[in-house]
Amino acid sequence: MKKTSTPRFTLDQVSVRFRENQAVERADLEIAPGELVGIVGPSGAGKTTLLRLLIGAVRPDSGTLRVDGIAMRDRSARDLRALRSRIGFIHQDHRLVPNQRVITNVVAGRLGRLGFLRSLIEIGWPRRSEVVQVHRILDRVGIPEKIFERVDSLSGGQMQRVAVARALYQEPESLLADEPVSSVDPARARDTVEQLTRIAREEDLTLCVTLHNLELAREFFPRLIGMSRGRIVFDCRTADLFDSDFQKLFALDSGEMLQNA
Amino acid sequence: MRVRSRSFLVVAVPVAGILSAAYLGLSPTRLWPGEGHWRVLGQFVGAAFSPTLTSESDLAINILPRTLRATWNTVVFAVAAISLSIVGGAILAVVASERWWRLFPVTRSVRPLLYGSARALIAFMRSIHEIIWALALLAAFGLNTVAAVIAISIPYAGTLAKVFSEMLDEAPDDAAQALRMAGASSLQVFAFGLVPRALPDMGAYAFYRFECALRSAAILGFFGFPTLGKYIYESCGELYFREAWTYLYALVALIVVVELWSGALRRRLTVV
Repeated sequence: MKKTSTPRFTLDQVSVRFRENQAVERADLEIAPGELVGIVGPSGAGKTTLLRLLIGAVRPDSGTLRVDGIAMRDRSARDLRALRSRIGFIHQDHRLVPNQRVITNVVAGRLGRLGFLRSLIEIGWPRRSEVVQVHRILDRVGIPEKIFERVDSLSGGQMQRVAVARALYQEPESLLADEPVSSVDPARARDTVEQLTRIAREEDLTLCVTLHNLELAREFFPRLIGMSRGRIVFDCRTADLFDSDFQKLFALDSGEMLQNA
Repeated sequence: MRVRSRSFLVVAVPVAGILSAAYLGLSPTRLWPGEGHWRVLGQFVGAAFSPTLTSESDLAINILPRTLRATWNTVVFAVAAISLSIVGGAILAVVASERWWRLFPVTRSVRPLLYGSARALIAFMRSIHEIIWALALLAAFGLNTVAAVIAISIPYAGTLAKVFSEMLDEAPDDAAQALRMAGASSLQVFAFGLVPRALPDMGAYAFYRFECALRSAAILGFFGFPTLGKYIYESCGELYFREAWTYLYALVALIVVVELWSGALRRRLTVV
Protein backbone atom coordinates (compact mmCIF):
# COMPACT_ATOMS: atom_id res chain seq x y z
CA MET A 1 0.00 0.00 0.00
CA LYS A 2 1.40 3.33 -1.12
CA LYS A 3 -0.42 5.06 1.68
CA THR A 4 1.80 3.68 4.38
CA SER A 5 5.03 3.72 2.39
CA THR A 6 5.12 7.46 1.52
CA PRO A 7 5.15 9.91 4.43
CA ARG A 8 2.48 12.59 4.25
CA PHE A 9 4.85 15.40 5.27
CA THR A 10 8.63 15.34 5.10
CA LEU A 11 10.86 18.22 6.19
CA ASP A 12 14.53 18.01 5.31
CA GLN A 13 16.68 20.71 6.92
CA VAL A 14 13.93 23.29 6.39
CA SER A 15 14.58 26.88 7.51
CA VAL A 16 12.31 29.92 7.37
CA ARG A 17 13.40 33.46 8.15
CA PHE A 18 11.18 36.51 8.60
CA ARG A 19 13.51 39.48 8.11
CA GLU A 20 16.26 38.82 10.63
CA ASN A 21 14.12 36.49 12.76
CA GLN A 22 14.68 32.79 12.46
CA ALA A 23 11.16 31.34 12.54
CA VAL A 24 12.08 27.72 11.79
CA GLU A 25 15.66 26.49 11.87
CA ARG A 26 16.91 23.40 10.05
CA ALA A 27 13.89 21.28 10.88
CA ASP A 28 13.88 17.58 10.08
CA LEU A 29 10.54 15.86 10.36
CA GLU A 30 8.51 13.01 8.98
CA ILE A 31 4.79 12.58 9.54
CA ALA A 32 3.07 9.43 8.30
CA PRO A 33 -0.51 9.29 7.00
CA GLY A 34 -2.97 8.87 9.84
CA GLU A 35 -0.62 10.08 12.55
CA LEU A 36 -1.86 12.36 15.34
CA VAL A 37 0.82 14.91 16.19
CA GLY A 38 0.74 17.63 18.80
CA ILE A 39 3.14 20.55 18.41
CA VAL A 40 3.97 22.28 21.71
CA GLY A 41 6.20 25.08 22.85
CA PRO A 42 6.17 28.66 24.09
CA SER A 43 4.66 31.40 21.95
CA GLY A 44 6.96 32.57 19.20
CA ALA A 45 8.61 29.16 19.01
CA GLY A 46 7.69 28.75 15.33
CA LYS A 47 4.78 26.32 15.77
CA THR A 48 2.40 28.26 13.52
CA THR A 49 5.09 28.77 10.88
CA LEU A 50 5.71 25.03 10.88
CA LEU A 51 2.01 24.41 10.32
CA ARG A 52 1.82 27.01 7.56
CA LEU A 53 4.82 25.41 5.87
CA LEU A 54 2.90 22.15 5.57
CA ILE A 55 0.15 23.76 3.48
CA GLY A 56 2.47 25.89 1.36
CA ALA A 57 1.41 29.22 2.87
CA VAL A 58 5.05 29.80 3.88
CA ARG A 59 7.96 28.81 1.63
CA PRO A 60 11.15 27.36 3.02
CA ASP A 61 14.14 29.67 2.63
CA SER A 62 16.31 26.58 2.51
CA GLY A 63 15.85 22.85 2.76
CA THR A 64 13.21 20.67 1.17
CA LEU A 65 9.58 20.17 2.12
CA ARG A 66 7.74 17.23 0.58
CA VAL A 67 4.05 16.47 0.78
CA ASP A 68 3.06 12.98 -0.36
CA GLY A 69 6.61 12.55 -1.63
CA ILE A 70 6.53 15.56 -3.99
CA ALA A 71 8.67 18.59 -3.20
CA MET A 72 6.62 21.74 -2.63
CA ARG A 73 8.83 23.76 -4.96
CA ASP A 74 8.15 21.33 -7.82
CA ARG A 75 4.40 21.80 -7.63
CA SER A 76 2.64 24.04 -10.12
CA ALA A 77 0.04 26.57 -8.95
CA ARG A 78 -2.72 24.21 -10.06
CA ASP A 79 -1.06 21.30 -8.30
CA LEU A 80 -0.71 23.33 -5.10
CA ARG A 81 -4.42 24.21 -5.24
CA ALA A 82 -5.30 20.53 -5.64
CA LEU A 83 -3.05 19.66 -2.70
CA ARG A 84 -4.55 22.38 -0.51
CA SER A 85 -8.07 21.20 -1.26
CA ARG A 86 -7.06 17.91 0.42
CA ILE A 87 -5.73 19.61 3.56
CA GLY A 88 -8.10 21.22 6.02
CA PHE A 89 -6.61 24.15 7.94
CA ILE A 90 -8.29 25.42 11.10
CA HIS A 91 -7.16 28.92 11.91
CA GLN A 92 -6.71 30.25 15.40
CA ASP A 93 -8.97 33.23 14.55
CA HIS A 94 -11.45 31.07 12.55
CA ARG A 95 -11.33 33.31 9.43
CA LEU A 96 -15.01 32.96 8.56
CA VAL A 97 -17.20 35.46 6.73
CA PRO A 98 -19.11 36.84 9.73
CA ASN A 99 -22.01 38.37 7.80
CA GLN A 100 -22.88 35.13 6.05
CA ARG A 101 -24.75 32.10 7.23
CA VAL A 102 -23.05 29.06 8.68
CA ILE A 103 -23.97 26.89 5.68
CA THR A 104 -22.40 29.36 3.24
CA ASN A 105 -19.16 29.34 5.19
CA VAL A 106 -19.07 25.56 5.36
CA VAL A 107 -19.85 25.06 1.67
CA ALA A 108 -16.96 27.43 0.85
CA GLY A 109 -14.61 24.74 2.16
CA ARG A 110 -14.98 22.84 -1.10
CA LEU A 111 -14.19 25.74 -3.47
CA GLY A 112 -10.85 24.15 -4.33
CA ARG A 113 -12.60 21.31 -6.14
CA LEU A 114 -15.06 23.45 -8.12
CA GLY A 115 -14.89 25.66 -11.18
CA PHE A 116 -16.01 29.26 -10.75
CA LEU A 117 -19.53 28.87 -12.15
CA ARG A 118 -20.20 25.69 -10.19
CA SER A 119 -19.00 27.38 -7.01
CA LEU A 120 -21.30 30.38 -7.65
CA ILE A 121 -24.26 28.02 -7.84
CA GLU A 122 -23.28 25.85 -4.88
CA ILE A 123 -22.63 28.84 -2.62
CA GLY A 124 -25.65 30.82 -3.79
CA TRP A 125 -28.15 27.99 -4.06
CA PRO A 126 -26.86 24.87 -2.29
CA ARG A 127 -28.64 21.71 -3.39
CA ARG A 128 -30.59 19.53 -1.01
CA SER A 129 -27.86 16.90 -0.94
CA GLU A 130 -25.31 19.53 0.08
CA VAL A 131 -27.55 20.92 2.79
CA VAL A 132 -27.94 17.40 4.14
CA GLN A 133 -24.20 16.86 4.07
CA VAL A 134 -23.47 20.17 5.81
CA HIS A 135 -26.08 19.33 8.41
CA ARG A 136 -24.43 15.96 9.05
CA ILE A 137 -21.02 17.58 9.55
CA LEU A 138 -22.44 20.26 11.83
CA ASP A 139 -24.13 17.51 13.78
CA ARG A 140 -20.75 15.91 14.25
CA VAL A 141 -19.21 19.06 15.68
CA GLY A 142 -22.30 19.61 17.84
CA ILE A 143 -24.10 22.63 16.30
CA PRO A 144 -26.58 21.22 13.72
CA GLU A 145 -29.26 23.72 14.75
CA LYS A 146 -27.06 26.67 13.71
CA ILE A 147 -26.94 25.75 10.03
CA PHE A 148 -28.93 28.77 8.79
CA GLU A 149 -27.72 31.26 11.44
CA ARG A 150 -25.40 34.11 10.63
CA VAL A 151 -21.87 33.49 11.86
CA ASP A 152 -21.70 36.81 13.70
CA SER A 153 -24.57 35.70 15.92
CA LEU A 154 -22.53 32.76 17.25
CA SER A 155 -20.23 32.52 20.25
CA GLY A 156 -16.48 32.11 19.86
CA GLY A 157 -16.69 28.41 20.60
CA GLN A 158 -19.45 27.94 18.04
CA MET A 159 -17.47 29.84 15.39
CA GLN A 160 -14.58 27.51 16.09
CA ARG A 161 -16.85 24.56 15.35
CA VAL A 162 -17.95 26.15 12.08
CA ALA A 163 -14.27 26.48 11.14
CA VAL A 164 -13.80 22.77 11.90
CA ALA A 165 -16.92 21.93 9.87
CA ARG A 166 -15.61 23.95 6.91
CA ALA A 167 -12.34 22.01 7.02
CA LEU A 168 -14.19 18.67 7.28
CA TYR A 169 -16.46 19.58 4.35
CA GLN A 170 -13.31 19.59 2.22
CA GLU A 171 -13.19 15.82 2.82
CA PRO A 172 -9.51 16.25 3.59
CA GLU A 173 -6.74 13.71 4.02
CA SER A 174 -5.03 15.88 6.61
CA LEU A 175 -6.20 18.37 9.21
CA LEU A 176 -3.95 21.14 10.47
CA ALA A 177 -5.21 23.11 13.47
CA ASP A 178 -3.47 26.22 14.76
CA GLU A 179 -4.12 26.74 18.49
CA PRO A 180 -7.73 25.54 18.17
CA VAL A 181 -8.42 25.98 21.88
CA SER A 182 -6.97 29.46 22.39
CA SER A 183 -10.39 31.13 22.09
CA VAL A 184 -12.53 28.70 24.07
CA ASP A 185 -12.90 28.22 27.82
CA PRO A 186 -10.97 25.41 29.53
CA ALA A 187 -13.96 23.05 29.69
CA ARG A 188 -14.59 23.46 25.97
CA ALA A 189 -10.89 23.16 25.20
CA ARG A 190 -10.85 19.52 26.24
CA ASP A 191 -14.00 18.81 24.20
CA THR A 192 -12.48 20.46 21.15
CA VAL A 193 -9.24 18.48 21.26
CA GLU A 194 -11.11 15.28 22.04
CA GLN A 195 -13.40 15.93 19.07
CA LEU A 196 -10.56 16.68 16.65
CA THR A 197 -8.58 13.58 17.58
CA ARG A 198 -11.69 11.37 17.52
CA ILE A 199 -12.73 12.58 14.07
CA ALA A 200 -9.17 12.17 12.80
CA ARG A 201 -9.10 8.57 14.06
CA GLU A 202 -12.53 7.77 12.61
CA GLU A 203 -11.69 9.25 9.22
CA ASP A 204 -8.09 8.07 9.23
CA LEU A 205 -6.83 11.67 8.83
CA THR A 206 -3.34 12.95 9.48
CA LEU A 207 -3.75 15.50 12.27
CA CYS A 208 -1.26 18.16 13.34
CA VAL A 209 -2.29 20.52 16.11
CA THR A 210 -0.32 23.31 17.75
CA LEU A 211 -1.16 23.65 21.43
CA HIS A 212 -0.26 25.83 24.34
CA ASN A 213 -1.90 23.46 26.76
CA LEU A 214 0.58 20.71 27.66
CA GLU A 215 -1.90 18.61 29.61
CA LEU A 216 -4.24 18.31 26.64
CA ALA A 217 -1.33 17.64 24.31
CA ARG A 218 -0.10 14.79 26.51
CA GLU A 219 -3.56 13.36 26.99
CA PHE A 220 -4.68 13.19 23.37
CA PHE A 221 -1.62 12.96 21.13
CA PRO A 222 0.51 9.82 20.88
CA ARG A 223 3.34 11.86 19.37
CA LEU A 224 4.57 15.27 20.44
CA ILE A 225 6.94 17.72 18.82
CA GLY A 226 8.46 20.34 21.10
CA MET A 227 9.64 23.62 19.60
CA SER A 228 11.56 26.51 21.03
CA ARG A 229 13.02 29.48 19.16
CA GLY A 230 12.45 27.87 15.79
CA ARG A 231 14.16 24.61 16.64
CA ILE A 232 12.65 21.20 17.14
CA VAL A 233 13.77 20.33 20.66
CA PHE A 234 12.13 16.94 20.87
CA ASP A 235 10.04 14.72 18.63
CA CYS A 236 9.02 11.43 20.17
CA ARG A 237 6.26 9.25 21.54
CA THR A 238 4.39 11.03 24.30
CA ALA A 239 4.86 8.06 26.60
CA ASP A 240 8.63 8.56 26.42
CA LEU A 241 8.53 12.17 27.57
CA PHE A 242 9.13 13.31 31.15
CA ASP A 243 7.98 16.45 32.93
CA SER A 244 11.56 17.64 32.79
CA ASP A 245 11.47 17.63 28.99
CA PHE A 246 8.62 20.13 29.05
CA GLN A 247 10.22 22.24 31.72
CA LYS A 248 13.39 22.38 29.65
CA LEU A 249 11.33 23.36 26.60
CA PHE A 250 9.93 26.42 28.30
CA ALA A 251 13.08 27.23 30.26
CA LEU A 252 14.96 27.53 26.97
CA ASP A 253 12.78 30.45 26.09
CA SER A 254 14.62 32.90 28.36
CA GLY A 255 12.64 32.13 31.44
CA GLU A 256 9.12 32.27 30.01
CA MET A 257 6.70 30.83 32.55
CA LEU A 258 4.98 27.52 32.03
CA GLN A 259 1.56 28.47 30.73
CA ASN A 260 -1.59 26.44 31.23
CA ALA A 261 0.54 23.56 32.44
CA MET B 1 7.25 69.86 11.52
CA ARG B 2 3.62 68.77 11.75
CA VAL B 3 2.86 71.33 14.40
CA ARG B 4 4.36 74.08 12.28
CA SER B 5 2.33 73.11 9.20
CA ARG B 6 -0.82 73.03 11.29
CA SER B 7 -0.30 76.53 12.66
CA PHE B 8 0.45 77.64 9.10
CA LEU B 9 -2.97 76.31 8.06
CA VAL B 10 -4.69 78.08 10.94
CA VAL B 11 -3.39 81.39 9.58
CA ALA B 12 -3.59 80.58 5.88
CA VAL B 13 -7.23 79.50 5.69
CA PRO B 14 -8.78 82.74 7.04
CA VAL B 15 -6.31 84.84 5.02
CA ALA B 16 -7.30 82.97 1.85
CA GLY B 17 -10.95 83.49 2.74
CA ILE B 18 -10.53 87.26 3.20
CA LEU B 19 -8.49 87.60 0.00
CA SER B 20 -11.03 85.72 -2.11
CA ALA B 21 -13.88 87.74 -0.63
CA ALA B 22 -12.04 90.94 -1.53
CA TYR B 23 -11.42 89.65 -5.05
CA LEU B 24 -15.12 88.90 -5.52
CA GLY B 25 -15.99 92.35 -4.22
CA LEU B 26 -18.05 90.93 -1.38
CA SER B 27 -18.89 93.34 1.37
CA PRO B 28 -21.33 92.93 4.25
CA THR B 29 -23.33 95.94 3.10
CA ARG B 30 -23.88 94.46 -0.36
CA LEU B 31 -25.10 91.20 1.15
CA TRP B 32 -27.78 93.19 2.95
CA PRO B 33 -30.98 92.93 0.84
CA GLY B 34 -32.79 95.99 -0.43
CA GLU B 35 -36.42 96.92 0.28
CA GLY B 36 -37.95 94.79 -2.53
CA HIS B 37 -35.81 91.78 -1.68
CA TRP B 38 -36.98 91.90 1.89
CA ARG B 39 -40.58 91.77 0.80
CA VAL B 40 -40.06 88.77 -1.50
CA LEU B 41 -38.04 86.98 1.15
CA GLY B 42 -40.85 87.64 3.63
CA GLN B 43 -43.40 86.23 1.19
CA PHE B 44 -41.28 83.13 0.62
CA VAL B 45 -40.84 82.45 4.34
CA GLY B 46 -44.48 83.26 5.06
CA ALA B 47 -45.68 80.85 2.36
CA ALA B 48 -43.90 78.04 4.19
CA PHE B 49 -46.73 78.16 6.73
CA SER B 50 -49.50 78.10 4.13
CA PRO B 51 -48.70 75.68 1.34
CA THR B 52 -51.60 75.18 -1.03
CA LEU B 53 -53.08 72.41 -3.14
CA THR B 54 -54.78 74.92 -5.41
CA SER B 55 -52.84 76.31 -8.34
CA GLU B 56 -52.04 79.99 -7.77
CA SER B 57 -52.34 80.78 -11.47
CA ASP B 58 -55.66 79.02 -12.02
CA LEU B 59 -57.81 78.48 -8.95
CA ALA B 60 -59.78 75.74 -10.74
CA ILE B 61 -56.75 73.48 -10.82
CA ASN B 62 -55.88 71.13 -7.95
CA ILE B 63 -52.13 70.52 -7.94
CA LEU B 64 -52.23 67.37 -5.81
CA PRO B 65 -52.22 64.95 -8.79
CA ARG B 66 -49.40 66.95 -10.36
CA THR B 67 -47.43 66.84 -7.09
CA LEU B 68 -47.89 63.10 -6.74
CA ARG B 69 -46.96 62.49 -10.37
CA ALA B 70 -43.84 64.65 -10.06
CA THR B 71 -42.87 62.86 -6.84
CA TRP B 72 -43.33 59.51 -8.54
CA ASN B 73 -41.27 60.69 -11.53
CA THR B 74 -38.52 61.82 -9.17
CA VAL B 75 -38.42 58.36 -7.60
CA VAL B 76 -38.41 56.62 -10.99
CA PHE B 77 -35.58 58.83 -12.31
CA ALA B 78 -33.56 58.23 -9.15
CA VAL B 79 -34.13 54.47 -9.15
CA ALA B 80 -33.16 54.19 -12.81
CA ALA B 81 -30.08 56.34 -12.27
CA ILE B 82 -28.87 54.57 -9.11
CA SER B 83 -29.42 51.12 -10.64
CA LEU B 84 -27.33 52.02 -13.66
CA SER B 85 -24.72 53.61 -11.37
CA ILE B 86 -24.46 50.56 -9.12
CA VAL B 87 -23.86 48.23 -12.07
CA GLY B 88 -21.33 50.56 -13.68
CA GLY B 89 -19.77 51.53 -10.36
CA ALA B 90 -19.35 47.90 -9.23
CA ILE B 91 -17.61 46.92 -12.45
CA LEU B 92 -15.31 49.96 -12.34
CA ALA B 93 -14.65 49.37 -8.63
CA VAL B 94 -13.28 45.90 -9.31
CA VAL B 95 -11.06 47.19 -12.12
CA ALA B 96 -9.83 50.06 -9.92
CA SER B 97 -9.13 47.80 -6.94
CA GLU B 98 -5.50 47.00 -6.22
CA ARG B 99 -6.43 43.68 -4.66
CA TRP B 100 -8.23 42.50 -7.75
CA TRP B 101 -5.12 42.86 -9.93
CA ARG B 102 -2.88 41.44 -7.22
CA LEU B 103 -4.82 38.17 -7.54
CA PHE B 104 -3.31 37.71 -10.98
CA PRO B 105 0.47 37.49 -10.70
CA VAL B 106 0.95 37.87 -14.48
CA THR B 107 -0.21 41.48 -14.25
CA ARG B 108 2.58 42.44 -11.84
CA SER B 109 4.51 44.73 -14.18
CA VAL B 110 1.46 46.56 -15.59
CA ARG B 111 -0.63 46.55 -12.41
CA PRO B 112 -0.30 50.27 -11.49
CA LEU B 113 -1.13 51.11 -15.10
CA LEU B 114 -4.28 48.97 -14.99
CA TYR B 115 -5.81 50.30 -11.81
CA GLY B 116 -4.29 53.72 -12.41
CA SER B 117 -6.14 54.16 -15.69
CA ALA B 118 -9.37 52.89 -14.14
CA ARG B 119 -8.96 55.44 -11.34
CA ALA B 120 -8.27 58.22 -13.85
CA LEU B 121 -11.50 57.40 -15.67
CA ILE B 122 -13.38 57.36 -12.36
CA ALA B 123 -11.90 60.73 -11.38
CA PHE B 124 -12.99 62.19 -14.72
CA MET B 125 -16.56 60.91 -14.30
CA ARG B 126 -16.76 62.26 -10.77
CA SER B 127 -15.18 65.63 -11.35
CA ILE B 128 -17.99 66.78 -13.65
CA HIS B 129 -21.24 67.53 -11.82
CA GLU B 130 -24.46 65.86 -12.97
CA ILE B 131 -25.92 69.25 -13.92
CA ILE B 132 -23.09 69.80 -16.36
CA TRP B 133 -23.47 66.28 -17.76
CA ALA B 134 -27.19 67.06 -18.13
CA LEU B 135 -26.43 70.28 -20.01
CA ALA B 136 -24.10 68.46 -22.37
CA LEU B 137 -26.47 65.53 -22.96
CA LEU B 138 -29.45 67.87 -23.37
CA ALA B 139 -27.59 69.73 -26.09
CA ALA B 140 -26.89 66.41 -27.81
CA PHE B 141 -30.15 64.50 -27.35
CA GLY B 142 -32.77 67.06 -26.41
CA LEU B 143 -35.23 66.70 -23.54
CA ASN B 144 -34.78 62.93 -23.40
CA THR B 145 -35.49 60.87 -20.27
CA VAL B 146 -32.59 58.54 -20.97
CA ALA B 147 -30.26 61.52 -21.22
CA ALA B 148 -31.30 62.69 -17.74
CA VAL B 149 -30.78 59.25 -16.23
CA ILE B 150 -27.37 58.95 -17.85
CA ALA B 151 -26.43 62.45 -16.73
CA ILE B 152 -26.96 61.41 -13.11
CA SER B 153 -25.44 57.97 -13.60
CA ILE B 154 -22.05 59.09 -14.91
CA PRO B 155 -20.85 61.01 -11.81
CA TYR B 156 -22.72 58.64 -9.48
CA ALA B 157 -21.11 55.56 -11.01
CA GLY B 158 -17.76 57.30 -10.58
CA THR B 159 -18.38 58.10 -6.92
CA LEU B 160 -19.69 54.60 -6.19
CA ALA B 161 -16.70 53.08 -8.00
CA LYS B 162 -14.22 55.12 -5.97
CA VAL B 163 -15.81 54.28 -2.64
CA PHE B 164 -16.54 50.63 -3.55
CA SER B 165 -12.96 50.02 -4.68
CA GLU B 166 -11.64 51.50 -1.43
CA MET B 167 -14.01 49.24 0.51
CA LEU B 168 -12.79 46.21 -1.45
CA ASP B 169 -9.17 47.17 -0.83
CA GLU B 170 -9.72 47.73 2.88
CA ALA B 171 -12.10 44.87 3.74
CA PRO B 172 -10.63 42.29 6.16
CA ASP B 173 -8.94 39.58 4.10
CA ASP B 174 -8.89 36.88 6.78
CA ALA B 175 -11.63 34.79 5.17
CA ALA B 176 -10.00 35.28 1.76
CA GLN B 177 -6.73 33.88 3.09
CA ALA B 178 -8.53 30.91 4.60
CA LEU B 179 -10.20 30.12 1.26
CA ARG B 180 -6.90 30.45 -0.58
CA MET B 181 -5.37 27.97 1.85
CA ALA B 182 -8.27 25.61 1.14
CA GLY B 183 -7.35 25.60 -2.55
CA ALA B 184 -9.74 28.25 -3.90
CA SER B 185 -8.79 30.00 -7.16
CA SER B 186 -8.07 33.72 -7.32
CA LEU B 187 -11.50 34.47 -8.73
CA GLN B 188 -13.15 32.40 -5.98
CA VAL B 189 -11.07 34.06 -3.28
CA PHE B 190 -12.22 37.48 -4.52
CA ALA B 191 -15.87 36.55 -5.00
CA PHE B 192 -16.42 34.47 -1.86
CA GLY B 193 -13.76 35.78 0.53
CA LEU B 194 -13.40 39.50 -0.17
CA VAL B 195 -16.65 40.72 -1.74
CA PRO B 196 -18.90 39.37 1.05
CA ARG B 197 -16.76 41.19 3.63
CA ALA B 198 -17.17 44.50 1.76
CA LEU B 199 -20.79 44.01 0.71
CA PRO B 200 -22.61 45.34 3.82
CA ASP B 201 -20.66 48.61 3.65
CA MET B 202 -21.16 48.82 -0.10
CA GLY B 203 -24.91 48.29 0.30
CA ALA B 204 -25.18 50.93 3.00
CA TYR B 205 -23.26 53.43 0.90
CA ALA B 206 -25.37 52.69 -2.20
CA PHE B 207 -28.48 53.49 -0.16
CA TYR B 208 -27.01 56.78 0.93
CA ARG B 209 -26.26 57.57 -2.71
CA PHE B 210 -29.87 56.74 -3.58
CA GLU B 211 -30.98 59.57 -1.30
CA CYS B 212 -28.57 61.88 -3.12
CA ALA B 213 -29.93 60.62 -6.46
CA LEU B 214 -33.45 61.68 -5.39
CA ARG B 215 -32.21 65.23 -4.84
CA SER B 216 -30.31 65.18 -8.14
CA ALA B 217 -33.37 63.85 -9.98
CA ALA B 218 -35.43 66.67 -8.49
CA ILE B 219 -32.84 69.27 -9.53
CA LEU B 220 -32.81 68.02 -13.13
CA GLY B 221 -36.44 69.16 -13.27
CA PHE B 222 -34.98 72.66 -13.69
CA PHE B 223 -34.20 71.66 -17.28
CA GLY B 224 -37.80 70.63 -17.91
CA PHE B 225 -37.77 66.96 -16.92
CA PRO B 226 -41.11 66.26 -15.18
CA THR B 227 -39.67 65.80 -11.66
CA LEU B 228 -40.40 67.96 -8.61
CA GLY B 229 -37.66 70.41 -9.59
CA LYS B 230 -39.57 71.45 -12.72
CA TYR B 231 -42.55 72.65 -10.68
CA ILE B 232 -40.46 74.19 -7.92
CA TYR B 233 -38.57 76.15 -10.57
CA GLU B 234 -41.71 77.27 -12.41
CA SER B 235 -43.62 78.31 -9.27
CA CYS B 236 -40.67 80.22 -7.84
CA GLY B 237 -40.21 82.00 -11.17
CA GLU B 238 -43.81 83.26 -10.94
CA LEU B 239 -43.41 84.02 -7.21
CA TYR B 240 -46.12 81.41 -6.47
CA PHE B 241 -44.41 80.51 -3.21
CA ARG B 242 -47.33 78.71 -1.56
CA GLU B 243 -47.41 76.30 -4.52
CA ALA B 244 -43.61 76.01 -4.46
CA TRP B 245 -43.71 75.01 -0.81
CA THR B 246 -46.15 72.21 -1.57
CA TYR B 247 -43.60 70.73 -3.98
CA LEU B 248 -40.76 71.39 -1.54
CA TYR B 249 -42.61 69.61 1.25
CA ALA B 250 -43.27 66.69 -1.11
CA LEU B 251 -39.52 66.49 -1.75
CA VAL B 252 -38.71 66.70 1.95
CA ALA B 253 -41.29 64.02 2.74
CA LEU B 254 -39.84 61.80 0.03
CA ILE B 255 -36.29 62.18 1.35
CA VAL B 256 -37.41 61.54 4.93
CA VAL B 257 -39.31 58.38 3.96
CA VAL B 258 -36.35 57.01 2.00
CA GLU B 259 -34.00 58.01 4.80
CA LEU B 260 -36.04 56.08 7.36
CA TRP B 261 -36.37 53.07 5.10
CA SER B 262 -32.70 52.94 4.15
CA GLY B 263 -31.66 53.62 7.73
CA ALA B 264 -33.54 50.51 8.82
CA LEU B 265 -31.99 48.50 5.99
CA ARG B 266 -28.50 49.81 6.76
CA ARG B 267 -28.80 48.76 10.38
CA ARG B 268 -29.68 45.28 9.17
CA LEU B 269 -26.78 45.21 6.73
CA THR B 270 -24.09 46.23 9.19
CA VAL B 271 -24.86 43.98 12.12
CA VAL B 272 -22.21 44.04 14.79
